[in-house]
Amino acid sequence: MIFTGSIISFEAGQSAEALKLLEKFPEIEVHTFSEDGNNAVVSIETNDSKALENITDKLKKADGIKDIAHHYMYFGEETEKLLTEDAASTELGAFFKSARIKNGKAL
Amino acid sequence: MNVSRRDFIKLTAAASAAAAAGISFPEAAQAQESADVEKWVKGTCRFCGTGCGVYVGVKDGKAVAIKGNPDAKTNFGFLCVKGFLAFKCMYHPDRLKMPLVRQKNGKFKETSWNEALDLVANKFKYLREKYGKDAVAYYGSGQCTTEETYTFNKLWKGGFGSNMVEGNPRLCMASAVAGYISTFGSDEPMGSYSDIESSKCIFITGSNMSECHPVIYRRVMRHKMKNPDVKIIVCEPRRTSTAKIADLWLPNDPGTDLAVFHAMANVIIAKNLHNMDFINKHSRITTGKDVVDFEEYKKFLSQFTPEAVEKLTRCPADHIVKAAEWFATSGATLSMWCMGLNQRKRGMWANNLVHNLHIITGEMGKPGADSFSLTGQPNACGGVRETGALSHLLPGTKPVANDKWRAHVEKAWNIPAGTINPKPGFHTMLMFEKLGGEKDAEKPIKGMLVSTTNPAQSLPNLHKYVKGMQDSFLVVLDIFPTRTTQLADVILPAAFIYEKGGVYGCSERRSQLTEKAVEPVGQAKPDLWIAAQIAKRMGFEKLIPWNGNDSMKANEQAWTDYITVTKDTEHTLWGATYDRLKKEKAGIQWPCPSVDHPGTERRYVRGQDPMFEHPAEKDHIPSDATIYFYADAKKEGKLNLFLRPYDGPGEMPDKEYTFFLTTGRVVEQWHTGTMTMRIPEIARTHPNAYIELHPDDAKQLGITAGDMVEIVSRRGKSVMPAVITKGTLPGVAFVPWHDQAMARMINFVCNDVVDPDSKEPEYKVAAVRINRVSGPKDVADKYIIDDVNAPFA
Repeated sequence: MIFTGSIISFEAGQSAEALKLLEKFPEIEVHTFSEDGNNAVVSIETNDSKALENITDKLKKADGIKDIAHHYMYFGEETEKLLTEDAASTELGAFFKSARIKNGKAL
Repeated sequence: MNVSRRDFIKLTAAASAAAAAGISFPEAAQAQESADVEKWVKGTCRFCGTGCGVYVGVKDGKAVAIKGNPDAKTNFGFLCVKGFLAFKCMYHPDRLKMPLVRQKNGKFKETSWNEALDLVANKFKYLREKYGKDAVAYYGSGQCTTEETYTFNKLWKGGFGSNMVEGNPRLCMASAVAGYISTFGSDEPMGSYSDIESSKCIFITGSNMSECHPVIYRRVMRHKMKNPDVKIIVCEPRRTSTAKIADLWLPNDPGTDLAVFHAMANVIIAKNLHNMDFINKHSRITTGKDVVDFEEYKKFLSQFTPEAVEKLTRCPADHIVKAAEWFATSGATLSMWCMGLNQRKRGMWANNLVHNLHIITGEMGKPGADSFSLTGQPNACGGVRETGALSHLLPGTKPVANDKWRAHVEKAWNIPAGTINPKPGFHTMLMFEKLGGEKDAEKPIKGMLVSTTNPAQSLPNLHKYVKGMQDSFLVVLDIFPTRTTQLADVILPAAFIYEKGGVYGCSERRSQLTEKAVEPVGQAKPDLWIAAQIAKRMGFEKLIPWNGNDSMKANEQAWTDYITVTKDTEHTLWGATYDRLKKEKAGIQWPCPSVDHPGTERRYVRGQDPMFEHPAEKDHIPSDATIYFYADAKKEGKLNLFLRPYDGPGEMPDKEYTFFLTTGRVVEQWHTGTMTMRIPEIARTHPNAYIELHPDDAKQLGITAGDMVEIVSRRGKSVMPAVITKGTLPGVAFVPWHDQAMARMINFVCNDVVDPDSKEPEYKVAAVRINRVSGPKDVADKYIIDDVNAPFA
């Protein structure tokens, strides 16, 4: 699992619509807002960093959202997987020797 | 996973983000710093030159989290994608974990550290005894820590008596160094990043900061959003993503912007927008040889009319006029640039001419006004520039040819007078040109130690230099296999920054300490330990005594040695003791002459710069001077306002090679991609190099998006897919340089002509021929060197 603490900035006057959009992402929890209402403090929980990347990309392109900036990232379980037998199940799995032999240079 | 733990981590993450953004967080009391993290270790990001402050979260001896440092004056708690994903490099399965020595069959074999270090030390001793003290060279990096760079520099110059010391900042920052020294008398900027938020006009030239310095770009963008009246001018051959927030784009053919800068100066003076008082008080107008008067400068500039310059550069005349007016009248103009100015045959002159614009308008020495060079690497400034780890420098960025300074350094290092060679060694391109095997009498350098850089991919006109690396005795320190390890005789596995700690100094003269957070993987070791062990084996233990296994203790010894040597210079970090650096949340900006000094946000201004009161400078600074450029070599406290004649790039397009080629970075990838191409989400975004072409050019050449295109220069060729974009001028092609696949390594094509002053090569301009080779092919292979025994092919 990956957890982030992030700030999502809205276009002025579009925070209500942007919040509706955020509700469509079960991975996102909105905790609080800046005084002007133009920034939301959120946490995002995803299975891996690829899923986080997808959410980030979608939000960046969404109407009403100006920017998303991550400040904090917890990746303890990813580290554990990389250092244990589960390594091949991570996104870096294809870099491991056994996978390379099987898959060439594919990630 | 237990739900309460999950909620706890989320709450902690959100509270931390809120604190960084200055947003009050009602649940903050419930969140604790230690959610699944045993300790937070302060550090600095190891990618670009911004110097973002981070905290690495550690649990059970492993890095499990990272967050931006909200107290950092560089990034205020925010990080870009590269910084967040650094942990994937740390724990990547490709990490080099054991010393490797190439055997007679050409394959590498794992060895012990003792065996590998003995081999390196004995071979270096042999080569030096047989071929002379300059037979072994050091080639370092703006990614080594200050302690590491200082130590290698000391070993070579003070131990070996050789100035064959270079580093990759020669390839990126040497023109900025030469520009600052020739104009100001001292390297590095006058102001700080904080000028961004005070500026009223920002002139960005030769820098695609949205991709190369995303956190600084974020500061610029937010400043513009909060203050729509702030003018942003971008002067670039490409309409980059940075140019998207610009009020004015000054396009120009690569290598022609010297004329644009002169034309802006011409307009400023013709419209009487210059600051004659500042010019008279603080500058001397010079050709470099002779001092001339203002009328002669004005007459010289008169040839650079906007209309004439438009014909020469393709920069619209009305844009030049508008840019000049905004620059001169904003009230606080900040210039920022990077490789687009430096990696040029006249890079130093380009730097001088930007400084000129600030001198003639008086746009310096006040909040929001400065002439500020951005660095590309995390420690090009703090490491290579400030410790003087180039072939012509000593610590304090002072020349080896300076008798007085050489004697001072010899005394500080406790070595016999005359040990340090007064003659500079070879600059980088010459060093690699002169590197070769023992059988080659034309090549005086027979061995080289390369640390934390990848010259077998990053040197321009690469074909010319590969054989020398292959034939010589090459020792490479790195964390991953690279194109350069493929040419090595010995590979020494290096520790990652969070596995060893050390100081990085960023673009704004700020030194920040990273504490060791975790143990290195496998048997990887800090470069500092490796340097000290080689020194010990070669009989230089007294010179480099910090050879113990405690990396932070060794770092502290090396740092203290360094700040002692430079104590009484304008670069002084005497007040930045290791203990203090550990406590400071945001590092310290030099000059910092004492432990009670807060560091210097702006130089050369009385009341802000402590050198006004420092014994080394105080006596020659007039007591009524509020701004004084005390580093002026003529001791007049003045800047040099240069008359530099127009000079174009090393080669221009012609009938055979019809296009300009320019190269650069993309936001996700860093340098030769040895780290970032191993991070899946980054690799996916930019899995291969490509060539950007303007639609008009593509149409004329019969090229459509995705077609495979051959790019040929007088030196070599590359083949890669085409991207069609209006983001570049017709006739100008762009290629990013991170791809390690041989066919797409663009440096085979680039020009290695060097600036005669800074000796920096002209990566940014080459004349090329472009042909369609075939229809689209899938080359999105995220190529990496994953096997040390794979051939250089």
